[in-house]
Amino acid sequence: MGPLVKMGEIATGWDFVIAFVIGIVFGIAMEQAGFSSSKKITGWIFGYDFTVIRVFFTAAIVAMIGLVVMQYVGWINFDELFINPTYLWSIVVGGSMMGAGFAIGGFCPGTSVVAVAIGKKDAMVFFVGILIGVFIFSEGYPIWEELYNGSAYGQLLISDVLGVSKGVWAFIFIIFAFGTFWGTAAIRKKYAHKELDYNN
Amino acid sequence: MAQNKQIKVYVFLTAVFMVLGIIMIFIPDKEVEKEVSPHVVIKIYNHGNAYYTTDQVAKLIMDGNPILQLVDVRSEEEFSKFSLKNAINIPLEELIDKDKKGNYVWRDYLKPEKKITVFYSNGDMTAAKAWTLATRLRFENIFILDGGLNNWIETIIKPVEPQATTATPEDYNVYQFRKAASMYFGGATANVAPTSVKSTVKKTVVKKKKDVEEEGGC
Repeated sequence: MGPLVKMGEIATGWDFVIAFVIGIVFGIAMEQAGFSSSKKITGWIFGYDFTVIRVFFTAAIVAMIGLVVMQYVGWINFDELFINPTYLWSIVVGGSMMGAGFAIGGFCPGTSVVAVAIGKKDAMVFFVGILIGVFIFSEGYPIWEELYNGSAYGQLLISDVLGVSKGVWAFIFIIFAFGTFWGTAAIRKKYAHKELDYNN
Repeated sequence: MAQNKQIKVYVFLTAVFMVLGIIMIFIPDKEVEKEVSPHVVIKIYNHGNAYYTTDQVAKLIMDGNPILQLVDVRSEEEFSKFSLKNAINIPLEELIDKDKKGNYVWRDYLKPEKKITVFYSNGDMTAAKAWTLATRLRFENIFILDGGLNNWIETIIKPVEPQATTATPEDYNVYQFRKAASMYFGGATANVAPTSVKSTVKKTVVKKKKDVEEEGGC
């Protein structure tokens, strides 16, 4: 049955329309969750706010459970899903840079756009920075091409590497996620700023 | 009080997800279908992405375009009697043979990087069968020579001059190309009929010489 567009349940022309609608809903949800504030986003680094980690882990485990169940009952063809291929060093280097930008600028690309939409000035500066970065990356592509395309492992799944079923990996990840939830709750108790104003 | 209530919610959520997690352990992975599902194959076929015309193939051969890989799916005997330039022979019967490790014998030929593989047979039935098998086995960028070798002979080796009364300029262009191709593949002599066509034919002949020169230079 699924993925709906790929398997022809929904005509291919509709994927952009669907993406547009989902994108808007996603943006609204992020804004409402407070992700337009760089204070909230960097909070987990300083230990006073772990919303970001909680949201991402929640999204991951909900999607995980959903996919495992849906592939089991045959609603989704796992084989036809797009899975980001692994380029090991490219991910290590790119991920570190993204993380550093995250910590310094207080946004990730998506949240910066959300914050621009509600008129935050720091986000506008951040967004210009993204564009400059994109420009440098594109123009200098020959320099990092080897790193970018090197150490390719194809579509690597942790469950396959560990040699366990997707369900077992989901269980391990749920334990890990809830360990993080409770652990971070304890840290937060210690470092929480009661008077923090997220709107400025 | 409020904090206690919040903790209760957290405990509840933790418990729910733990139960779900334990259920997850017992859900086995569904055997992944190694083959493309039939309706995807039909989709590719219906979108007209399955065929290469004889003209397209002739042009690729004449250009010496390395992207083209021709596969003759007829029997070895037929292949040895006549085949297209640089074609390899994979008889339909052997197409899905596997070696001892369980890999397809012709894997490396059917999964080349950035190549267009064109299957051909006498008509296009055998090639279409081979195409269906290969496409289901996830070999990509495979096409069928439209009309097969019979059509190849009719259009490329012995092209028919368009009727002067009904033909469009486009028909003449196609004819001129085919006439040139015919000479390239050794099907016709140079005495092309109408004078109007002559100049273009000459041009293509020059191009052919250039090709040969290039080959010699390598």
